[in-house]
Amino acid sequence: MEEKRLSAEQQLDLISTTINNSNAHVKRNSGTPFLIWGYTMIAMYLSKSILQLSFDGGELRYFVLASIPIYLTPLIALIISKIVIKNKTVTSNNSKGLRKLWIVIGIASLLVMLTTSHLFTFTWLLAIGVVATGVMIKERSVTSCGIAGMVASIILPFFSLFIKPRLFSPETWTEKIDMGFCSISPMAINAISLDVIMIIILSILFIIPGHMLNHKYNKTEGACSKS
Amino acid sequence: MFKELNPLLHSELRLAVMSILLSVESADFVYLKEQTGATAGNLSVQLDKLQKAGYISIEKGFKGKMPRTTCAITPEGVTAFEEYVEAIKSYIIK
Repeated sequence: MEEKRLSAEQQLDLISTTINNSNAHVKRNSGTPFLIWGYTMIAMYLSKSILQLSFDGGELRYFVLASIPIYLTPLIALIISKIVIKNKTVTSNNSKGLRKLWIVIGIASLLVMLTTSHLFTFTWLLAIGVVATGVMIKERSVTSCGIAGMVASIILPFFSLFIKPRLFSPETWTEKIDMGFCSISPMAINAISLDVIMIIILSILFIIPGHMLNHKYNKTEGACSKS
Repeated sequence: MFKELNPLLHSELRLAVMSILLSVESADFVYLKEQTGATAGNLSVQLDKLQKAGYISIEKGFKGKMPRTTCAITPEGVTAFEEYVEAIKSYIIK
């Protein structure tokens, strides 16, 4: 860019073009953190389900398997984030606030899962984070997905209180199902049914808004030209 | 009566740098160079002028083994920029 005197109109034009280009650049790949955390959590729940089906075990093994998503998700997601989001040359005005928000939500969620394993509280905390993020970045689609996630989370207590006792009570189902290569216990089916609901809720909270954001802002990649 | 234009911001490159920094929390030297299309030497000189005026803060550090210069606009810089925009608007209106 050469040093030259610009007219008032040219200067205003330069300011608006530069700000627009900068905003477009900052928003590019803004859905990637959603996708990293969303897919990691889903992968963890899927791994847990597969392991629970493959190994038929007692209470201790069930407890160890059930805790896989809690221990491994933050670790794996942080490692992937380090690898994928590298050489970040610019930080948006919201990034500091969003980072603090998600640290609080993350710690609270981890504590909830470690102490109570209460899935409804866990998903509501995540949904609050998604709604707050949507409000902060002024993205209605993200806010809507957060609210949809909150509504979908209501399935969890409803399922645990009314459906699960009827389907998986010791009176109705005591024997294991022999699948040939493995036998599935009622306890495993019980846990997997909750995992399936969790995967649906996590998709609403993270995968859908992540793809929507990337689709919206990566289209304008060519628009961020040198001014 | 026309408002007086701030001579420090009455330069294409410095104005572009201020506009970029106004829209982000912080940006590093590489990003500013890419966005403005300026040479490293010229950009470095202009950033130094803006820093001496107190319009931007410059933080020098390392990312891994690579040196990294991060710039951010200061509250004085925001005020100066807003006043400058108001001033150039008055030229267009009149």
